[in-house]
Amino acid sequence: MPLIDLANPSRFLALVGRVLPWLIAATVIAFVVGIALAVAAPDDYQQGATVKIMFVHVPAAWLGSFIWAVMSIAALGTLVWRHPLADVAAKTAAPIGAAFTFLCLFAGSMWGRPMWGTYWVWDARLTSVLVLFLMYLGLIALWNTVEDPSRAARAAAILTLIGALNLPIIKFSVDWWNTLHQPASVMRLGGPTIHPAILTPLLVMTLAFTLLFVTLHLAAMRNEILRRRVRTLRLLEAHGA
Amino acid sequence: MQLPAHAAFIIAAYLVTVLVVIALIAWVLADYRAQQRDLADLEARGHGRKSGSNLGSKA
Amino acid sequence: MLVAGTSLACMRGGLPIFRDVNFTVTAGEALVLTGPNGSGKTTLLRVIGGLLRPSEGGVTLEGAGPDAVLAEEAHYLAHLDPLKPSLTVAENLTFWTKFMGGAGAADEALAAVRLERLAQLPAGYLSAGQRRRLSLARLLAVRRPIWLLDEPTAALDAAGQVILADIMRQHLASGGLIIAATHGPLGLEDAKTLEMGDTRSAAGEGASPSAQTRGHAPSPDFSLRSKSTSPRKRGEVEASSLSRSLGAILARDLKVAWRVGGGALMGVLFFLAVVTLVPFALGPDLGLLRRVGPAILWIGALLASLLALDRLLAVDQEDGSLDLIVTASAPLELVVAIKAIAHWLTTGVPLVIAAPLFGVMLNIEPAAIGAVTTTLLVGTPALTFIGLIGAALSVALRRGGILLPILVLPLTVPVLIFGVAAANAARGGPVGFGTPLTILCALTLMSLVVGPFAAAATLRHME
Repeated sequence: MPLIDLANPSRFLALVGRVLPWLIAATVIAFVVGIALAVAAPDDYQQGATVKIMFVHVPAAWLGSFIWAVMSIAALGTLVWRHPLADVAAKTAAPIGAAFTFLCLFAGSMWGRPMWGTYWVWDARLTSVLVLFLMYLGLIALWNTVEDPSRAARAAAILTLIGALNLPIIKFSVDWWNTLHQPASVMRLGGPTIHPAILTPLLVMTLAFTLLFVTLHLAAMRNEILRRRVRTLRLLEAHGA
Repeated sequence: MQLPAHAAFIIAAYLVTVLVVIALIAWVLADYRAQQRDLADLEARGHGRKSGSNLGSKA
Repeated sequence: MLVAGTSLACMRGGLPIFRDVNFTVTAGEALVLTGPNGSGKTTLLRVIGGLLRPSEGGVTLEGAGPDAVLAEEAHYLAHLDPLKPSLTVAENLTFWTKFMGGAGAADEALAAVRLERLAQLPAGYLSAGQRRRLSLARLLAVRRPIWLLDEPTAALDAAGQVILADIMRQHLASGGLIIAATHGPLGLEDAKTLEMGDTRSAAGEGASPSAQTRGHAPSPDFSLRSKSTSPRKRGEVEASSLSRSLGAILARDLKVAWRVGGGALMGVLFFLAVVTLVPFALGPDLGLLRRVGPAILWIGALLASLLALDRLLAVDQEDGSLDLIVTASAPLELVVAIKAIAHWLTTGVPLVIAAPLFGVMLNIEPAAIGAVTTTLLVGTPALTFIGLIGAALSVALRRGGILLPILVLPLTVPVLIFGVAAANAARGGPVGFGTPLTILCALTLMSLVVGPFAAAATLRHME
């Protein structure tokens, strides 16, 4: 066990140590450019300045689903290849994903208040994101409940994949539920056509958020590997005494 | 320059974003320190990383 | 000091476990209970420890002061090790030391069982034998003259058995007495044995005489244990040790809830899930959601607090802590009340804090959100303390899961009625906000009194 559990992650730790400074630099640059572009972006003729909220709302929403996709790949890694880094990646991605999903919800409600006159509307997109948020929290709860990480990993991997299968179904059902009750009266977030003047900063911000996630994720994975090393050493200490 | 309409909501959205990102960064950094400290503790008690070969043989 | 059992009999589920068991153990003596599985060794130990009531006969304690209670002079070492995996070795030991009113020589006790190097390690990392040794350390940290040991050698390796034999010999030499159930040798040279026979026949004839014939004459020796059980003084000493016990329970429960993390937030997550699901059933009509919002919040909080109740006492039962808590000198009513308070602080308060946020999601107007939050703050303690009764029942009946909500839900009806009524009254209704809120307060105060007494009565009568 230690051969796989410690040796391979050791190389990963060295890699993280080398890559991390570059990633941090890239993230900072992307954010500086993104925010500059966002500030300069014109207001929407319909939504006014509130459209600026989109520059955090949309990237956060993107990360919400992107991180679930990352976790799904990691789940396959756990179940199929039994790669020791896979469940480390899956475990550490979950809290970050939950944080960005929360940000998406919060920015959405800040956008909704001036647009709809209320902080929360059971709009199809927001509600889907809320369900996604619930699933993230459930996954985190699962990780926290089971003490032994290798046992938790398999359960979490199965739940992640089931979630990945279910998310499109949930999305579809929520859309259907919403149109059933409120036939298209609610203005949808970010209309069907986005002006290029807004699209460019949006893409840069999305890139910046993604880089931020990768940086945070790698750092969190390093922590998790160290945590498992501490755990292994403690077990050895207990059994050696 | 006049603040745009609904400035409070825009500022709130960005402010919370900044706070959450700072919280994430702080979490990662604090966790890193804590793990390093635990590892140092264990090492001080003679169960360190240096005894890696020892580790393998025992397990 | 002398412990004697006279013509003891015990029935479980209508069948006799043993009949006519007699024994006498005096200070400095050990009595070893032997016999095949099912012969009632554990049952007898639990009878002596005050956890079970014999159907006939009784156990008497002599020479330990006028109002000494056997259970409070005894240590019961059960099959289970009453340890919390998230607390460190030292924290576990210190908790029991404080709870049992010991002087707190935890370090020496750990050293005596060779666990001193692992003092700062969470107990979850320990092997079975190490957990056993940690349990033994409890017997050393809190001095009590009578040791009731159930299979003390179980899970111990050779070195562990040597430690056990050493501390048992020291205990006997200092005037303690030991009653141990065992299959293997204990390493005590001149211990009396009580052969527990086959359920129906042997217990009567074979067993008791063997204990009596080989027994020494009862020679109570008080001087040896004068330090540990000097005549009890009621009053100040009692009060301070009681508050120490209760403080220890509160601190431990809060610490465990904090370490396990997530546990407290699990209820909030469930709450959020309920609040999210309701609009899917009702439709996203904001006007409708606003009208039923307070009701949704109350139902969600009610279900979430019910869900958490399952763990309130069950955790302590699963690791054997409950046996020690039930027989402790601290009044069980107060102990369970403290446990309920700790439970409310870690599960109820987060629900109250989350409620305003969920209120916004349901589009409830600010005044009504304030009202719902207030009623939840006042009402959730009632849910916890009513639930305490259900938790005690499900622990006593050893049936977890769905039974608890079925038992508890009907009892929470009044709380729900007045909680929602008060919340709705805040937005202008036929009745004012004050009336239902006052009734809700009254319900909470009543449950604060009734809950602990009912729960304690239930736990005392569990078999």
